[in-house]
Amino acid sequence: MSASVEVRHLSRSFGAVHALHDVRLMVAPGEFVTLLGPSGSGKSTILNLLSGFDQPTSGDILIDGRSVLHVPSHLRSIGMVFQNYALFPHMSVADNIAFPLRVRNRPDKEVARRVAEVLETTHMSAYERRFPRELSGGQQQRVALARAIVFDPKVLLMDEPLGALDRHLREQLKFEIKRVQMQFRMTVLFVTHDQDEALVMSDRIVVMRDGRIEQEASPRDLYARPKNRFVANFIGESNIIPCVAKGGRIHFGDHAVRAQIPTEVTDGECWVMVRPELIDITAEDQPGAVRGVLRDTVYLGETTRYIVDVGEKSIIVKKQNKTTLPFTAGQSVHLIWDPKDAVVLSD
Amino acid sequence: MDMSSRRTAELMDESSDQGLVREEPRRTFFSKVGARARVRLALQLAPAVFLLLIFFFIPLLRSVWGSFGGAEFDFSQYREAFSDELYYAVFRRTLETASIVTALCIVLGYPLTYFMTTLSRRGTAVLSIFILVPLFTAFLIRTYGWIILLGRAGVLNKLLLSLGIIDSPLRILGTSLGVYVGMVHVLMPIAVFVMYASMVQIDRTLLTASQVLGATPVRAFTRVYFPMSLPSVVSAGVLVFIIALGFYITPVLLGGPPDTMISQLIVTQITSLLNLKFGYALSAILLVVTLILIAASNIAVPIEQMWALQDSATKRNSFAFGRTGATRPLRWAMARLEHAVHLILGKPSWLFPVLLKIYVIGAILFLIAPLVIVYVLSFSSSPFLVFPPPGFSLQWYQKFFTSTDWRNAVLMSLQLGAVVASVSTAIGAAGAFGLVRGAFPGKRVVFLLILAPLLVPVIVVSLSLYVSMADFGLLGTFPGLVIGHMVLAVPYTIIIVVAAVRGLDRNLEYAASTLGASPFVVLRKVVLPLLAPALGTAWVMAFLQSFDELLVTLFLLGRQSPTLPIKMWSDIRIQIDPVISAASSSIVTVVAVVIIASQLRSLLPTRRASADAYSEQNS
Repeated sequence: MSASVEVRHLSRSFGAVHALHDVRLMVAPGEFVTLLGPSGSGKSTILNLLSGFDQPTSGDILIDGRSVLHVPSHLRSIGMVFQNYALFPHMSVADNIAFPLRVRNRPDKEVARRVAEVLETTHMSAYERRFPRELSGGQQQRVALARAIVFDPKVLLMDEPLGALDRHLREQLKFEIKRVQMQFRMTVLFVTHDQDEALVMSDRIVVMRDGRIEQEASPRDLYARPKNRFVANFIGESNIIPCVAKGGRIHFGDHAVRAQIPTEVTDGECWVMVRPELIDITAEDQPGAVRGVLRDTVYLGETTRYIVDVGEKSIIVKKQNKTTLPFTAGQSVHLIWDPKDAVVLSD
Repeated sequence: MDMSSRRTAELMDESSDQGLVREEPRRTFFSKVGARARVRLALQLAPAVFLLLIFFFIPLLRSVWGSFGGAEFDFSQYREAFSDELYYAVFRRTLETASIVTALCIVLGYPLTYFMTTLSRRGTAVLSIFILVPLFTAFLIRTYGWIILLGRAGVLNKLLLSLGIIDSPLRILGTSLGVYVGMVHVLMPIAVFVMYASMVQIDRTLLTASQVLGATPVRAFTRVYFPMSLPSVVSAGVLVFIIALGFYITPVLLGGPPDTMISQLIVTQITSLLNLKFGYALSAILLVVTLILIAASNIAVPIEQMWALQDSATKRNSFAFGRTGATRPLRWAMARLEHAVHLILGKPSWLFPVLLKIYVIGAILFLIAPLVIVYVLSFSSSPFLVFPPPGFSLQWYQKFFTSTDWRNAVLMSLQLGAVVASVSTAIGAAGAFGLVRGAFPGKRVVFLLILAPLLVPVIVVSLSLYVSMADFGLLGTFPGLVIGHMVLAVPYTIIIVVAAVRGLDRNLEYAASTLGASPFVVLRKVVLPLLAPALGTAWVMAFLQSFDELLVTLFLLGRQSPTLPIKMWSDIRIQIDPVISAASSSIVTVVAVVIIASQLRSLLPTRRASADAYSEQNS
C-alpha cells in the first residue's frame, strides 16, 4: 500500500517569483519525511503540486516510479490532512470518513467495516454520529486523519496538521500520528514550521528556504551537524560564533577556536556553531577555553541559561539544574567544549 | 531568416514537440488547463453579463442617444423639460421627497438597527421577522393598508376622534405626509438591513474600552461607535435615495396631485401619450442625477461595500469625526451637547435602554400596522372599509378563491415568479463563482455592471427593458416578462451567492478531490449542499422580487393575463374592494410562513437540535 515518492527538478514560479526552485526529493516506501521551513519557503507548494491542486512550471513527480503530472488529483490516491482539517460540515463524522469509500463505489458492508476500523484506530468510535462543529480541535484532527487513511492511499500528506492545536494536544497527537504511521508503514510527507514536531516524528527532515532545499538529514544529524547558519538557527538553540579562518586554523578574537575543522575550509570569515548545552562553564582557565564575563543567569526550571559576554559576542550556555553552579553576574568565567561538538558552517 | 526557412523551423519545432512528448509534456497540458479555466470562467459569467448587456445597458444607452435624436443632437426635449414649469416642479418635488424620506429612514432606522446589533442570535431572529415580513410584502399591499389606516374615515382618524384628541378628521391621505408615511414604511426596512450588515461587525468591546478610558457612555457612543457606523449610514442613505427617486405606487395612491413624482410622468409619456423621445429625456435626466449621486458617494464608500460585500466598511475607513477635522468651537459645542445628553439620559442608567426599547416597540408597531389592518378587514362582513368591522365573515376569501380573475392573476404571478427565481438563481450562482473564483482584469467593472440595475431607479430599468423588448418583438410575451424580471432579480441572486461562495472554504473542495471525488462529485456532494441555504435564499429573494414587481410589468405585460400586483393595482385605483384585503392577507401569510421558516434555525435553542435538523436533511 505504501509507495515511494520522487520529485525531480521540480520548479514552480508565479511570474517572477520562484516559489520552488529545482527541488529534488526521494521518499522511500514507509518513510516519514518532514518538510521544515518558515512560511513562504515552498513546503506547501510541494504539497499542492503532489496533490495536483497546482501544476509545476517544470520538473516531474513520480509516485511508485510513475509520473502523476497528467493524473487529476482525485485519481492520484493521495491522502491529505489539511491544516484546518477541511472536514465537511454538512456530514457526520462517519459520513466524512466514509466519503472516500463511497465516491469509489465500495459496497456498503465494506464501507461500514472500514469506517469502524479507522474509528477504532483513531479512538473516535464514540463520536461517529457527531458533526464536525460538535468536536474539539483534537477530535477534528483525528477525524481528518481517519478520513485521509481510510482508503489506503499510496501516500499521506499532512499540511501543518497540528498548527491549530494547543501545546498539550499537540504533544499527544504527535505520538499518535507516529504510532498510526508505524502501524500501517505509511509513506508520509509532513509539512511543518515547528522543529519539535519534525525532530520527534521524522525519519528524515528536509529543511527548506526560499523554494530550495537547504539540508536533508536524519533528525540526529540535522541537529548535530547543521550545514549552514540558516539550518543551525532554525533547529534548536545555537551559538553561532563569527570567526576568521587562516591557514587551517580558526580564530575568534584572540582565541584559537577548538572545532572539527574540515580540510577544505578557505581563509577568511567563517562561522562556528556550538549548542548551548554542550558548553561547560568553569571558574579556572583550561587549555583551549574561551574567557568571558558572566552577564546574567536565567532560571528556566529544568535548566539555567548563563549569558556570557566574550568580547562583542554573547555566548549562551545551558546547564541542567542537577547542581547549581556558584557563579554571580559580573564574574570572569571560562567556556570550554569538545572540539567534535563545534561545527564549522558553510555560510 | 526569410519566410520559408522560418516556416520550416516552425514545422521542425512542431515535429520535435511530437517526438519528445516525454520530455515536454507538461507545457501543453498546462496551457490546456489554463484554457479550460478560461472557458469555464467565460461560461460562468456569460449568461449574467449578456442578459444585462442586451436588455439593460445597450437599450439604456440607446434611449439616452434617442432622447436627443441621436446624431441630430436635438436637445429640444431637454429644453422643454427644463423650461416647462410643470416638469421642473415635478423634478424638484421628486428630489425633495426622496431626500426627506431618506433622512427619515436613516434617523428612524438607526436606533432600531443599533438595538438589533445588541441582541442575541435568537433575539435578532425574532426582530428580523417583524422587519422582514413587511419588507417582503408587496409594496401594493402595504400601501393599501395605509389607505385604510390614513383615510378620512380611516382607522387612525376614528381612533383619534373617539379618544377626543381631535374634533374633525385629519387629512393625511392625499397629502405629502401620506406619501412620506407610505414611503418610509417601504424603505426603512431596507435601510435597517443595509446598516445592520456592517454595524453588527463593529467590535462592541471598543465601547467598553473607551468607557474604561474615561468616556461617558454618551461620549463613547458619539466618539467611537457613531463614527464607525457612518459608512453604513452613507450606504443605506444612497440606496434608499435611489429607490425613492424611482417611486411610483405610493405617491399615486397616498399623495395628492402636487406629490406627483417623475416616474409617474415617464410612465404617462411612454404608455399613454406614446411620446417616447420625451420619456427618454426625462429618464436620462433622472439617470444623470443618480450617477452623480453614486459617483459622489463612491468617494466616501465604495459601491461594492453598500451590500457589505467586501470587508466591512467599518473596519477600514471610518470617518474622522470629533477628532482632527473639527474646529475648536465645534468641538466645544459637541462636548457641551454630549454632556447635556449625558445629564438627561445618563443619570438614571436604566433610562436610555428603556427609552430605546419603547422606541423599538413603536417602530415595530409602525411596520406591522398596515398588515394587521389588512388582516382584520379581510374578515369583515361589511363591503365597505369600516373599522372596527361590524361582523365576521369569510365571504371575501370565498370570492378571492373562487374568482377566475384573481385565480388567473395568482397563477400568473406564481408561474412567473417560479421561472424567474429558478433561472435567476442558476445564472446568479454561476456568475457568483466566476466573480469570486475567477481572476481576470476588469473584474470590478463586470461586478458593477451586474449590480447596475439596483443602482438606478426602477423606472430607468423599465424603460430600457421596454425599448429592448420592443426591438426583439418580446413585448407582451411571457419570455419578455421573464427576462424583464430577471434583470432585476439576477443582481440580488449574485449578491447573495457571492457572499456565500466567499465564505466557502476552498480546502473542502481540495479535500474532497484528494479523497477521490471527481469535479462533478465535488460539486454535487460538497459545493451544492454547502451552498444550499444561500441558493434557497437567492431563490426566495428572486421569487419575491418578481412576485412584487409592478413597474416593469406595467411596461412589458401587454395583453397577457395580469399578474397579482397588476390586478391589485388596477382594482385599488378603481374601487376599494375587500377582496383585495383577502388576497393581501393570503399573500402576507405565505410570506410570513416562508420568512419564519427561514429564521427557524436561529430560533431553535440548542446546538444539538440544529445538528439533528442536519442529520434529518441528510438521511
